[in-house]
Order: sequence, then structure tokens, then C-alpha cells
Amino acid sequence: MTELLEILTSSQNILPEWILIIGILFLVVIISFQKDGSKWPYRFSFLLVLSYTFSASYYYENLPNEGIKLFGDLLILDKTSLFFKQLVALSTIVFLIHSRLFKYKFDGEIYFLVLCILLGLSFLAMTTNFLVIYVSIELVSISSYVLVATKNDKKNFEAAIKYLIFGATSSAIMLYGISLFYGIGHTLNFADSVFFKSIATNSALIIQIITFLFLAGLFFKIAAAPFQSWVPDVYEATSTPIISFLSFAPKAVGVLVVARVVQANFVNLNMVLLLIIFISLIVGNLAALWQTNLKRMLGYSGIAQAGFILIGVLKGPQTDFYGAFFYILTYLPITMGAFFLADLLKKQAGSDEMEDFKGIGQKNIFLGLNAVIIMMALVGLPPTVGFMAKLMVFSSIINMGEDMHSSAYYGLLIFGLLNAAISIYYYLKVPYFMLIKKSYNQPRYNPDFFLTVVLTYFSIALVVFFLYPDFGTEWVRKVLF
Amino acid sequence: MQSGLLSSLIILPLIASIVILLLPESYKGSYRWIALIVQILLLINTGTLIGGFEANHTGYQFLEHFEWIRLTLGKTSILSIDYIVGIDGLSLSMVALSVIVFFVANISSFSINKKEKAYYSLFLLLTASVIGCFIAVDFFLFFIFFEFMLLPMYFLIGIWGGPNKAYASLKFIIYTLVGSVMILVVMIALAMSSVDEFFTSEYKRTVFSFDFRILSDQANLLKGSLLNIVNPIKIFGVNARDFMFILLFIGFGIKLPMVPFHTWLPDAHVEAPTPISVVLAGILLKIGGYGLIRIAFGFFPDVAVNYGLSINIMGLTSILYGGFNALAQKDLKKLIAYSSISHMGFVLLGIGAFNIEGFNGAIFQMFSHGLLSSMLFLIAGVLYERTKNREIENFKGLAKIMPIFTVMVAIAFFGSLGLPSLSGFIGEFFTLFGSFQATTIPKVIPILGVLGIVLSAIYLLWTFQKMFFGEFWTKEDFKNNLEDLNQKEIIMLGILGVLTLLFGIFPNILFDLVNPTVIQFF
Repeated sequence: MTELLEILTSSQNILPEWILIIGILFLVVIISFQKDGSKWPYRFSFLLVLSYTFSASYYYENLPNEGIKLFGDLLILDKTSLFFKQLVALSTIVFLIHSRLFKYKFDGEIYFLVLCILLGLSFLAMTTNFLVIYVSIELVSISSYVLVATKNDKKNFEAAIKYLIFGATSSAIMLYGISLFYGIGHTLNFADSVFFKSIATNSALIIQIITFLFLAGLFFKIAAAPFQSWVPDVYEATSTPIISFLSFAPKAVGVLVVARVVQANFVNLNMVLLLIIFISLIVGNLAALWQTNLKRMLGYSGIAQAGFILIGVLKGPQTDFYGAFFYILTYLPITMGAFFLADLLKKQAGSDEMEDFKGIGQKNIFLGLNAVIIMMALVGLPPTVGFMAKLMVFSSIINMGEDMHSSAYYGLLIFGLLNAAISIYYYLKVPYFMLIKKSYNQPRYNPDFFLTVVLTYFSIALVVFFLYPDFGTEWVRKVLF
Repeated sequence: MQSGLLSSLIILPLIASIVILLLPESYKGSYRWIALIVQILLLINTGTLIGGFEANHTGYQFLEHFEWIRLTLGKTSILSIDYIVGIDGLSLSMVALSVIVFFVANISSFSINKKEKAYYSLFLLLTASVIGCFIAVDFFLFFIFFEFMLLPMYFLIGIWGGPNKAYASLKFIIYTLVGSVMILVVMIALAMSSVDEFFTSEYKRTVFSFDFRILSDQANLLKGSLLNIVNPIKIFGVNARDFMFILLFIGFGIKLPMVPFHTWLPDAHVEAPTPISVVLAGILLKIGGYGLIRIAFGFFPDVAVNYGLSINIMGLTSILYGGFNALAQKDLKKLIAYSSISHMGFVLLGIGAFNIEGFNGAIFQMFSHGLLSSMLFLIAGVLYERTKNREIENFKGLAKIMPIFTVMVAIAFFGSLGLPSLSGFIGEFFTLFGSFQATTIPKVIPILGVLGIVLSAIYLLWTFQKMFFGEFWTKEDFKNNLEDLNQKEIIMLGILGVLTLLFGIFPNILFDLVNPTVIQFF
């Protein structure tokens, strides 16, 4: 009886997920009964995500700081998970608006898949249980493979196959790590004290290796090196709104799970993380230098950004992941704004090649200005919120260096900042071609005034958020573990 | 007393920049006048500032203080970022220099006739951020202006520059960004170590501050923090404070520019249009010197003492390397660029001496170099505008047909090579004097430094002789183009020439302003 009661009470606490699950089933019905090209799947999904977002905020009030456990430790509902759920929902809304504004004729199935990803991420944000993590990640992954493969051309299939193979491999590695953990720890919940005690009897090196194996699936989602090789092809081939969503949502929640593992503190992950950060920064930045295609470049930049975010997850005596969470909050308008810009440029220039952007900014100075602001935010230059995010992350390293008495952290600080300095080379290419290069042939120029205005919302947000960051910082402070 | 006078120096150009951006293309002709009016207003406001400035007061004056950002850092601490502007003798002299040079550069910009809208709004943006840099009394604010300068500069060189502009502007921005990244490291480290006691007790959370007045007082350093003095923490085997000082030194050294981090400068100068060269040499380089004095020496005096000799050696290297390179140049603008490197070396010499004479000399040298290098680049611009050619060998006997020009060139050249009664002499004299006085520095360094003056005499007089004396001759037929200076050019060069003479004969005008501030460093 008590189990049944537990299930009943727990079910009351996951109202957003219920809304989503039932809604998705309805969506399937709608899709199967509507003609192709109907707008109802879109409208319904929009409504669904909105109600999901609002119902999630309902729980903020009465939640104790350490959260409440649901379904016998399978899920944990705390403010952090609510924060991430809302962020991901927000990015879904941006995706929906983006695809509507650019008049993408998506089939209803696309919305179905995106909502499935949202559902998977929603559970992923709420758990410290290996099995739930694995199942949610698989839900997210399989939906993403299909999403990438929906366009019918060769490039897409190639990208989707690559994505599938790398994804399946890292899932397998992850599963291997989980099985080892289960063998050693006798439980599937890594935040459990039983797990902690059983782990402590083993050598730290072995645990580090197993944790690395386990994290492989997450690093794949975060797009951190060395699990990054799918990124450029997938980014280039997939429709822009979809990849805009995929570049943010799984990355955000993936970082949250890594943070939960670090927080559980059964192993010191710093060396592993440092290695991953170094490789991600190097690989992302150096490869991005040579790109000529904007979306590919954004893909590599995403790898480097993953490195920056992970810096905020390093564990020190005072760590509270503040830097990482704030970075993720700001990363939403930055990266999705960048993809919005990319789509707008593609519409004007007819391709994603940066060479073809020649002269666009000179004809339309506000578009040029927007491009400058968004790219500055990606570099992390003031006066954009990208600078604040980098400031937070790097000030957390200084604290850590003070506490741990290790020069490696200062090395990381300087190395990371130098990487930020290098990155200006490739980010500036966009405004460079738009504003400085002259176009020899008349560009196919159509003044998309309305879309430029929408893009301006992104850049205004980036600047205003820099001038008045209090709203964001206070929000993040409330949701720390 | 918050008069808003100082903020107006930032806000006026910012507003004007936005106004120009929004004005329709049909008002094309008015952009330059809007910009010029703003520059004149800035001159007037700075004049008011100088009038109201009480030289004998210590500390910052005309302070304006607004709370801006209280950045929550985790659960236990707050990062307090304020909008604070204020001036002391050092910053006032630099602000005065900036408004003069920007005014002149604005007149010189009249010859730009391509995309005026973008040009003037970027130019005003640059004005605002440069002046903001000098009057900021909050490290964060300073850094924002410091970084923000890069983008207007990038586009100003990149769009209106010469044939190799893409390379030059990119090189400029990457070099400077690497420098500013180093400064950023120090900024974060300093702020995370300095506690604002007052607000800490008020908020009940540790409040870290960027306020210059808090950072420069070592009593505010948190115990056990990275930069505390009592218990030095080591980074890669070096004391953290030393490490940070070296980062600052390199960061500002790139801006200064100091050999071996100078290679961006000749490229940027050769490609930049004349007014931008003027601004670059006249003011932007001074931010390096200003930062060294205000931040590196102001916040790390305990460390700086030990590095006097190394700084002097770097200064000497710059002086000699720049000088010898200038000797070998065929392009007039490149020659001036290398002479800039050589002359900014004297600033390092004065700063490294770490005594009152040296600091006064360094500040004076920055001021005087601002005036003189602006003149020199205008001169190169005058020739280039008329003939599209800057090779020294292509001209001879210009004095015959351009007498007024020759007089201006004479003032600029003799000023630069340190003729007494012109401002260049005072700066070089005092920096060398300071270096001689310093006990930690072997006398051989200032003695070799004197060689720098000899070098500059050689290359400048040589150039002067080759280009202006003898029978009139040019390689191609430029004769019809080579008219003497027009009114606009006479005004620009005249203002700078008169100021050079004025400060050469009455150096006390500047010293009285600066000296009380300098004394506080010791």
C-alpha cells in the first residue's frame, strides 16, 4: 500500500511532465487526423510548451531547499531542476517562434520529436538515478537522430548516420560505466549514502575511470571533446531552428547532470574535467579558425563554449556551480540569437558560406550592428552579457586556486582567456564580411525589416542583461543546490 | 558634489554617435559638423574642469558615484561594480590631451568621403570610450571602456584603411585583445582579493569591490586571498603578486607598445587613414602608459619596486630598437611609427625609475608625444593626400614650394628630436634625469638612452634635409598637386605647434597639475 501511496503523491508533483505526456499523445492524434501542412500541430505544441512552463513555475514556492524525492528516489524535484526545465522550455518556445517566423514548413512529426526531447530533458534534469539518466538520454538521443534525418538529402543522411553511430557508441560506453558502478556501488542512485560508502572502498583511479565512462554519454550531449566529432556535420546539415534548439537544450541539462555527479562528491573529477576542458577549448577554437561555413563555425564554437561552461563545474571547497548555471542562462539568448542571425543571413545571401555575406551589413546597417553585438557576446566582450558570464566562470577559478593551492587552475584561467582572445578571429569574420568586404555582384538583397527587428530583441537582451544582470543573478542564486 | 561634468565627456559623444546613426542619409553633410560641435563642447567642458580643478588636493575630484551592479557571486559574496568617474592630475592631463587630439583628428576627418555615417558614429564612439578609460575610477568600468575601444578601432582601420587593411586591423585587434585578457586576469584576481569593509558589514556578505580607491589601499586585501601580502601564494613558482604585475606589464606593454610586442603598430599605422593614425599615436598608446602608472604601479607598488631595472631595460630596448628601425625606413609614415615606439620607450624609462622626477617626466613625455606624434602623422597625411605617395626618396626641396608646411614640419621634427624650448625636450630630459637618480638602476642605461635622442636627431634631420632642402624635385610630376597648406591644415598643425611651444617654454603648466598626484605614489 505504501508504494502505491508514494506513487500517487509523487505523481502529483510532476504535473508539467503529465501535461507533456498527455499532450504528446494528443499531438499524435492531431497529426494523424490533420492534412499535411496543417497549422494545428504547431499551435497545439506552442500551447503545450507554454502550459508546461507555467505549471513548472507553480512549484517554486513551496519547495524545500534540498528538494523532494519522488518515486522512491528515482526523481528529485528541486529548484535547480525547475530552473533547467524552464530554460529548456524557453528554448523550445524560441525554436517554435523561430521556425514560424522563417516559415519553415515542418511536418507535425517534427514538433512531436522536439516535445519528446523536452520530455526526456525534463526527466534528465530531475534525477540522480543511473537508470533514469540512461533512459532519458536515450529518449533525447533517439528523437534527435530522427530530427536530424528528416530532411531528404544526402548530406542530412550522412550527418544523421554519423550522429547515430557516435551517439550509440557513447551510450554503450555510458551503459558500461553504469553497469560497473552498479557492481561496485550496489545501488543505482549515485547521491545515495550506500553508494558513497561502497565506492569509498575502491581505489580513486578506478572510480575516476568508471565515472569518465559513465559521463561519456553526457559529454556527447554537451558536445565536449573528445566526443565532439559529430558536431560540424550535424550542425551544417540540420535545419537552423532545429539545430538552434539542439545546440542549447541538451547541452544545458547535460551540464546539470555533470554538476550533480560532481556535487555527489564520491570522486574527485577535477583532473578529468580539466582534461576535457583543455581539449574542448583547443579543438573547438583551432578548428573554428579554418571554417568558412557559418553553421559549421558555430558548431565548433559550441564545442569551445562547452569547455567554458564546464569550467564552472569544477569542484572546490566553495563550489556552488554558480558560474556554470549563469553561463547557461546567458548562453540561451547568445547561441539561439546567433542561429537566428545565421538563418537571416542565409535568407539574404542564399547560403551559409561567410564569403557570401559580403556587403550585406553595408546595405542594412542594423543587421550589421546586430551581427556585431551577437558575435561580441560569443567572444565575451563587454558590453554584452557574454562578458559577465565569462567573468563569473573565471572568478570561480580564482577562488578555487586560492583554496586548492594549485597552479593548474591559474594555468587554466590564462589558457581559457587566451582562447577567448583567439576566438575573436573567427567570430569577427561574420561582421568582417558583412561590413568591411565589398560585394562585387549585387547581393540578393531583400530588406527583411520584420526579422531584423526580432533579431534586435536578441541583441537588446544581450546588452540590457549586461547592464542589469541582477534579475539573472538573483534567479540563479535562488536555484543553487 | 555630483556635477555631471565628467559624465558629459562620455555621454555627449555617445549620444551624438547614436544621433548620427539614426539620421537619414540625406543629412550626410551635417555629420562632420555634429561631430565637430561635440568635440568643441568636450574642449569647453575640459576647460571648465581644469578651471575648477584644485591641484593641491590629493585624491580624485569631480567624483560621480552611482551604484550599478551588485553581482551575486554564489551564496556568500557579492561583486560590487559601480559607475564611478573622477579625475586627479594624471587623468586630467590625459583627458586634456585626448580632447585636443580628438578635436584635431575630427578636423582632419573632413577629408574622409566614404560612408561618413558609419565613420563619424564610430569615431565618436571611440572618443567616448577613450575618455571613459581615463576618467573611470572603477576597474571594471575602466576595463569595459578599454575593451570597447577595440571594435570602433577595428572597423575604422578595417573599412577606411589602406590596401592591406584587413591584415593590419586583425593584427591590431588580436594583439590588443591578448593584452586586455591579461589585464582581465589581474582585474578578477584583484577584485576577488579586495574587500569593501563598509558594504561588507552592511550586506552581511563579503563584498568584493573594483573601486580604484579600495584596490590601491592594501589594507583592504582579504587575509588568505590570492593577492595578500603577508602570506604570498605561489603561481607556477612565482609569487602571485609578482605574477599579476608581470601580466599587467605585458598587457599594457602591448598597448604602449613595448618591444618585442610592438609589431602591430607599424602595420596599423601604415594602413590606417590619417585621422585614425593621429588618434592611435596621439592617445591610444597613452592608455598603455596610463594603465602602467595607475594600475600596475598604483596597485602593486611593493612589487613594482623590484622591477625597476627590468622595466628600464625594456624601455631602453624600445628606444634603441625603434630608433635604429626608424633609420632604415623609406616610408615616411613607417618612420614616424617607429619613432613613436622609440619615444614611448622614454615613458618606460621614466616609470621604471620609480621616483618623482621619473614619473613626472613619463607623464610629460606622454603628453608631449601626444601632441608631436599627432603633428607628425598629420604631416605624413598632408603629403599623402596630395600625391598618394609617402616615400622619402621621392621628394626633394619641398621648402621651395611649401614654406608654411616646412615651418610646421620643422617644429614637429625639432620637437621630436628634443630641441630645448619645445615640449619633447622636457619629457626626455626628466625621464632620463629620473633614471639617473634611481639608485637601483646602473648609470649605463640612461647613458645609452641618451643615444636614443641622438638617433632621433639623425633620422629626423636626415629626412628633413632629404625632403625639404636643395633644388625642388619629385620623382613623378607632383608639382601641380603640391600646394602649400590650406586653412584647415594650418589650423590643425598650428594648434598643435603652438601647444608644443607653450609646453616647451612653460612646462610648469603641466607639472603643477600632475605633481601633487605623482607625489602620492611615494
